[in-house]
Amino acid sequence: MRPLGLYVHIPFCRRKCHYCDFVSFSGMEGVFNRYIDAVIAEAKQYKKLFKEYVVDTVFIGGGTPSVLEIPHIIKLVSGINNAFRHHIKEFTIETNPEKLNAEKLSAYSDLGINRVSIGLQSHDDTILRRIGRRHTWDDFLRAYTDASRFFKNINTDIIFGLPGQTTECFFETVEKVISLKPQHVSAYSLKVEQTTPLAKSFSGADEDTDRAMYHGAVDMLESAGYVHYETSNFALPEFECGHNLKYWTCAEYLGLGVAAHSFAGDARRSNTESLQDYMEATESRLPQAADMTKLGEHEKAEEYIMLRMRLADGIVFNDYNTRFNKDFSAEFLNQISAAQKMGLIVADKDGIRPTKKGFDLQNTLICEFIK
Amino acid sequence: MAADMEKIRNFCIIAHIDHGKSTLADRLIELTHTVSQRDMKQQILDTMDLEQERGITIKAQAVRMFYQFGGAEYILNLIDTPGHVDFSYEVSRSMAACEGAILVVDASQGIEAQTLANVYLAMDNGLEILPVINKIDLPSARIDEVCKEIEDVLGLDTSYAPRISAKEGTGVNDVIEAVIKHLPPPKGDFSAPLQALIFDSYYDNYKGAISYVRVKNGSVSEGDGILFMAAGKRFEVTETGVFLPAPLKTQSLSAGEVGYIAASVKNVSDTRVGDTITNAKGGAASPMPGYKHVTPMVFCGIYPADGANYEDLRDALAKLSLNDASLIYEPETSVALGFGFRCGFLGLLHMEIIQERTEREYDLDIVTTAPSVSYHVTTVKGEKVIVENPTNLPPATSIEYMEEPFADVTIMMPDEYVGAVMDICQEKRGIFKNMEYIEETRVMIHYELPLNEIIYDFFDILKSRTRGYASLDYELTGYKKSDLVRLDIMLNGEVCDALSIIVHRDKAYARGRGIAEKLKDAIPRQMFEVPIQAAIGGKIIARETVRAMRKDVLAKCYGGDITRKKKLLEKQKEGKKRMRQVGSVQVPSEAFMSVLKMD
Repeated sequence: MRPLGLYVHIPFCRRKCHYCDFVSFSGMEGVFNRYIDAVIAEAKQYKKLFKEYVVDTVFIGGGTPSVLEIPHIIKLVSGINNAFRHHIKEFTIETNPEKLNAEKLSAYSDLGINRVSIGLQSHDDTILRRIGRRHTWDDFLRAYTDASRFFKNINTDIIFGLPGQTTECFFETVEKVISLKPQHVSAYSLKVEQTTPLAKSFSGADEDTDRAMYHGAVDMLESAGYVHYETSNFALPEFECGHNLKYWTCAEYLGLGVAAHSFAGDARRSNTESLQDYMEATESRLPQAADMTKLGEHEKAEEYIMLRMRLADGIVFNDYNTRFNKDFSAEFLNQISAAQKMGLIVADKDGIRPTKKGFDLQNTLICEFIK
Repeated sequence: MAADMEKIRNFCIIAHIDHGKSTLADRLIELTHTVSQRDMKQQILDTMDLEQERGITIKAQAVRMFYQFGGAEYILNLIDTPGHVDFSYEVSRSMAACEGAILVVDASQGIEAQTLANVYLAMDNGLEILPVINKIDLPSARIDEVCKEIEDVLGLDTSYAPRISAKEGTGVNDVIEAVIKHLPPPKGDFSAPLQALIFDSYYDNYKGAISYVRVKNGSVSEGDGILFMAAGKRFEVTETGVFLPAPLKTQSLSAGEVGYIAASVKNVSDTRVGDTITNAKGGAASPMPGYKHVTPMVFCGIYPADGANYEDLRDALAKLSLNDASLIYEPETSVALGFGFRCGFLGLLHMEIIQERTEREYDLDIVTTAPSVSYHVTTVKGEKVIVENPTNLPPATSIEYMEEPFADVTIMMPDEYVGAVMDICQEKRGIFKNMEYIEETRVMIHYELPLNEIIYDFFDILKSRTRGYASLDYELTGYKKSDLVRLDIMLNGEVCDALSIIVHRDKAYARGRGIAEKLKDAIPRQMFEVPIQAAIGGKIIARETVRAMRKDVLAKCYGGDITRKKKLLEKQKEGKKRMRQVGSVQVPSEAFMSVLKMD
């Protein structure tokens, strides 16, 4: 049996945040039911194709999956459970503080969901308003307290480089989060996407501020016992996100829902980004893949390097060598030595790992290894 | 059957850019039904894409038209000439193929510097000149004033000058009839040995280099043995013909006629403009006067943006030079740019045309180095060295003195811009010669200017400070001693040879600072701080710094969507290919170009 990660995209929000360019829509409460049905129908389509697989991680992301009402979630979870053989070790749902309550959290827990991710972004209410978030720090605290009653594995998302955010202000957010002792923290550097409303009034923090925030957060979280295991991710030992690790280690995953991405076998696939098209295609039992790429060995190896370099563990020679039947240290002899000289990696007999500088200049580092 | 010379008119059109030369040519062709309406593209004589786009004529062409007048059929050969100063030699040869010239003057603009230069050239070639006042439909037309200007400045009679609007077709008949009435027919001797003047040539993949000729004496037909007198090469004629404007094979070409000769010539350098073709046996005793081996005046390095495309660039230049004997190129290497070519051009426009054609017709991304002129260096040992590439300048200590080319520059402009133009000329180390009013509000100024200042940004500055109202012409006068230095640019302590330029000592500081500032923006942040220094000898005169890159990472790969990250890396990888390694510094190809012009 091959393990499979399952991602389910819930493309709904009460209102879209000003910095967000993910596929998500607001004011669509009327189609929630229809959409859930479509996702379940899509899952059924894959039933045969994935009969050799067993689902061991599930991630319901968005959007804001917590905008769904309890009956939607029940239907969704039982639908996917019916479609795939499963032995779920980690089952995450993404939430936002404003629509989260004890009743929902209790229902999640009853359904077998064992990890919640809560979007905080900043503790500063002024900044939250400025970036279009609909909750306050107090809302978050309430949600977090409720969540910790039902869950022993909680992630908190924070963002740095926000408009109006000083280094001190961001560090205060980090401190406040650490004091709650979540098992997992994601700290993202804001990238202002040109298509978002925020881009009209903000071009992003300067590099120096951005890095000061990042380095400070890494130091603070590491001193508090968190392992900096991926570029933007920190976890208490044993609490790394198993589902997300699949993305970075080129493990197989299936994405359900509009704009969802999949990687299985030799192919990467993505669903249409149009909600209408997605639902209509699925309802008529048509495949709705918008895009499908079959990867060659070379491309696979390049993707592997690109993704593995995001991890603190970097590239483990043994894994690469077995997977691609090659010898990494021989193949990249010059690149390894060049990257070492540039101070981007440390290398030993087992593998190469990015340094702090390597995390900062990750793309430069990856480009060294891509031909 | 030789044509009756009395019924032939060979003429060209002289006009400043935008005064309507090509439009008039189109109308003449239309009116004589030379090309059917269906095939009529605007500006039919300008066949190259580039010409049509820029609205300028690069290569001369000839077209034969027929017109019924006074009960007889006349053959009108219109020889199109380039309108730009870079090609003045080609213009002069085209004129030598004619007996007359139509001078087109824009009724709202009046005479411009280039018009003036070309009219004098026509007069020197003994051409009869027929003035034509164009664009009379414009509300701003000043017909009488412009006529007076023509009479005062050029001494031409405008009483019979047709007043037309080529755009609307008004008065074009008058032009044709005036050509027949006022321009003289050719003279020549059918029975004399062949003398055919080459006024243009082009390379045809099947027929080889084809000469566009005006037959002065004798005749030529298929199978004849011919001799290119200056080139000293012999060939056998495979075809003669005329242009309608598509080529039409004829049995022969004889005295007075204009057409083409194909003779399986492999190389355009054998069909040099200005050369005379005669019979291989019993040919003319002497060639026609005026042949000149044109030498390039402006030089620059051309390199492929991606070093892997070197061979493609070589092919492109080889093909371009097939059709352009005045383009010269030879391989050179630059530490910064790798393998490329040092190319010589007739002038700046010629250079830009070649660069553009390389990119457009051969789909190559190229990097060009700053244009340079040819400097004469005399060393302390008394040796003379010609330097076309600043990198090859001997060390300052071994130079006794240097000389640079100067040009006589004529600028015409409305009088309100005199101050601005004189300022520019002074800034550019110009030596004032004289100034005259050619009309109440129009002025002509003569300056002597170093050519290296003209090729830098003179045109751009002149254009912007006179809002495009000034026109310019220049002619090389010779070399003069000058206090010149080589300005080097160092990146992270290492000289980047491709960025070195030769400048006047007084200009070095400003240029050095300008280049350093430009590079600061053009060079992306690297993993370490990169000092950019401008230096003369070992002395640093300007410094800028590119700060070290702090961040180059994408925070998120959401929901397993790695496409964004892949795209970003692809772009980065592509960008890397266009980077040149200068010592330890990665320099994008664009950076080399960004220093060529100052804003």
